[in-house]
Amino acid sequence: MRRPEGVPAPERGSTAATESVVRPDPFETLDDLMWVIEALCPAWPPRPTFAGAGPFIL
Amino acid sequence: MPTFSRLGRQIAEVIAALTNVGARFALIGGLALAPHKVVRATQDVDLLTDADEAEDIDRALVKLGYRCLHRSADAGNYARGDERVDFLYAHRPMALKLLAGAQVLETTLGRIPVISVEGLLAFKLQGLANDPRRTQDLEDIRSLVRANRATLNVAEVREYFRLFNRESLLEELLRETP
Repeated sequence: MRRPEGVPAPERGSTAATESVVRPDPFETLDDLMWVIEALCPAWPPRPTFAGAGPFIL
Repeated sequence: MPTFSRLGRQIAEVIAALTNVGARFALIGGLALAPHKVVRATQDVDLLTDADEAEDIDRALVKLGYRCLHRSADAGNYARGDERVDFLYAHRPMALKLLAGAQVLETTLGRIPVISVEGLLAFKLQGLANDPRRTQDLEDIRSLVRANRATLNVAEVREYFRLFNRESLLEELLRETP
């Protein structure tokens, strides 16, 4: 995971698993989060399709 | 060139492909939460597109190696391995209006049109109405209202909640976040 400059590492034993970093591009924040998630879960389980779903009234 | 997560690379690739074929689209679903102040992990790329462009989009996705799992007049699902891209096809006035009103954001992943927070609430509500077991949609709705309460177009949002007969839920959420 890329740590933004100036952001310290969490202390050992800290209960906080992640740190909240405010950035101008929210997709950068999301991408950082996904780095961690994908490291923990390298393959996604199957998901249902939209078959039989609805009604889509919007 | 920045190094993206797998999902980040997938988003950038799909967005570029749809842009190349001139398709109109907007990010919806879990990914669209991020520009509306709610960041959470998600697995799929969910997009709202113009129903008239479904065929062009199908060809673009197949060219990227995706296969169509399901496609109807309203929605489609595509998969490439364990990666998914899901579409809602706009053909009714409300969805077409929300698609037209999407705001294009310059992001690290490319130029991404993103649906308004009010529109995102509407689609989350539709997901919840169609399957009340989808508690993630309810949590997303709650988070979106909380994070955007000060700027939310409550009159527009109220119309969507009325459409799905969930006005009491909106009142409950507004009371939670005065």
